[in-house]
Amino acid sequence: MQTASKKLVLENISKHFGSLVAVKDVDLVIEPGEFICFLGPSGCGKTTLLRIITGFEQQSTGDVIYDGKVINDVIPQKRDFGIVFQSYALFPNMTVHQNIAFGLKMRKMPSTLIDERVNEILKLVGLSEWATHYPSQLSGGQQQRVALGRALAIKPKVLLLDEPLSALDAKIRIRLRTVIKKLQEELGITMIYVTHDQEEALALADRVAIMREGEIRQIGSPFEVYKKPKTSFIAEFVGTSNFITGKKSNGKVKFGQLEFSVANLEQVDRETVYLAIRPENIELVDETASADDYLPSNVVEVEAEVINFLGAVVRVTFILEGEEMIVDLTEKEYEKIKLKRRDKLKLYFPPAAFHIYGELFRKLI
Amino acid sequence: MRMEAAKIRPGDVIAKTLIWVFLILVCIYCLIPFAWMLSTSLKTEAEAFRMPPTWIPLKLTVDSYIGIWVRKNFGIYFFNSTVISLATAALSTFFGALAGYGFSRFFFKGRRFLIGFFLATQMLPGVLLVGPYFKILSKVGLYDTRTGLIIAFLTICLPFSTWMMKGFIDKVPDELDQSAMVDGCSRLGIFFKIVLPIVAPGMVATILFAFLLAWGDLLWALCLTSSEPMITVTLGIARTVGEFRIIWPMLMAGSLVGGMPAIILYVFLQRLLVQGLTAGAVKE
Repeated sequence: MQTASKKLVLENISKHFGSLVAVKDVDLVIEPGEFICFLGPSGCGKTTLLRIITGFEQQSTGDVIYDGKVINDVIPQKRDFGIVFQSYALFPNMTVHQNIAFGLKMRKMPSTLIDERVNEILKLVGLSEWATHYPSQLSGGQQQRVALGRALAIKPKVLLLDEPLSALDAKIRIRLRTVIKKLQEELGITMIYVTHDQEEALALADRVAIMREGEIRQIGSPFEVYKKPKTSFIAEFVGTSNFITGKKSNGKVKFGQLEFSVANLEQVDRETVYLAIRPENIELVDETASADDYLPSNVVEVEAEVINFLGAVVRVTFILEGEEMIVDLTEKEYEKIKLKRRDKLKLYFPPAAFHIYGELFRKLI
Repeated sequence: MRMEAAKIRPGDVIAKTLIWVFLILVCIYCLIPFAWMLSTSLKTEAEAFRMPPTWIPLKLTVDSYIGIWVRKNFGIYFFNSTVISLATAALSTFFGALAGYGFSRFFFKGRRFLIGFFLATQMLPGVLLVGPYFKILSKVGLYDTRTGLIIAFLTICLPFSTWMMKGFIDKVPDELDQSAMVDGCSRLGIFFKIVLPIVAPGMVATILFAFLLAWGDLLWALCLTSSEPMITVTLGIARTVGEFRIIWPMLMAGSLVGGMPAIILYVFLQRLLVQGLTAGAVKE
């Protein structure tokens, strides 16, 4: 049903708006049928990069290459790419059927074929009953499905999605996320997805490209990016991390009165060390376990400041050497210790769970 | 649900009464001239001069209404005014929308200056332009033609129509254009198929503005036309005022009839006009 996608290559793409560098030296190969997410905070250049791929924006340097051909000068109408916007961008003066049929009409497809294709798409996005309705008569989730259907109707070579779920509420977002992923897998279409929501990116993408200040800072599978964040910024932006600034001393990291054993510390030649540890990697000390199971230097006793029940996990906030930190306990662990606010709990920071960085990213706000 | 009797406070009653009295007074102030016109138009010429004047005609007659059509060529004046006003409204709105779309969507060098310049042309009083226009139209053989008058009116209407339409088009998200573009639609196709239907209420407001401006004009018609077959309603009404005699009932009948198209248009398109003028005023 779908046009076979070809390889899309971004070669040394940069975009300047006056003195502002929106995109800087982006080199990227997107394989046919791949689902790639551009993930980053606002202003990191991800949407600009998407607009360059679509042809709405002309890059200052570099080439966009599709199927081996440079398409820098090909206008958006001729690129045969589809796009879905956060605001849905449905034509309010047209019904759902007319919206989906629009691109096909522009391609001068015979009306019988258009009807056939539109019905196929309506079925695909689960909106067959709503064909004669106007966008204003649909819910946000339905509107976004129409937008998705409209973009898919033209059998785009590449489908670009610009924060398509950001305007929807959490439940619909998760449901639509599954719809998008299923469609992508069924149709085998190349999808480029822009989002600032790390959870969305990790859930959807084959590869995630983390962007900051116009550059791709890390690219890899969701697992890779989450487990091995290259910088403290990525450790902070993708998932949640606790940060520790310490000094190297006697093969350990001195953090206030504490001295943590950290794996691979010998590879660090600077005195100040920045560590990151994910809340789910901090362990609750099992009092029944043997003392040999834990390195004593990495066991700390803390007081539960805030307890947040998040469904699958219980997030406990505590203060360690003046720094606010969090630990995620499983429901079982939480039930076992029957934790209440101001209760003491013993935590273990496994040496191998620490990520060591040369600089520390701190959120300004 | 428990129903509670609405509590009416004396202060509210006084305030509401005052508001009603004020509104009624404003209505009377606005409607008295029309009532007087209607009354006079239904009088004989002699009664129109009677002292003290009468509000209700002593002898009701529709002679003046017949007179303006039979003796005064109001049919021709109406035809001219309709053609000129409709053409002015349609052309200025269409070209205004095209220009407005350009200003709204294309960020070219000198755009801001050009937009400002467009608006600045509105600062020139019509009296200043009418002389040069008389010269130009005479030179190109368009003096005393409907086409000449339409072109002249466009000069006045087009900048404002452009501004109005730009305002309405600015409210249409750029993403709609981009979606259509990716679907393979040309810029002109987007303008006609997407943007114009969305800004329809705005177009109605612009059409009304241009129509009323052209319909109510006297100065340009007076200076740029001269022969009987080319004159407009306003000029026709003005010509009922003679050097030695004013036929008041006919003048009033002409004014009332001449005002009718604008009133009818306004009544029928009022909803769209208000929608157009308030579009984007609140978050949808």
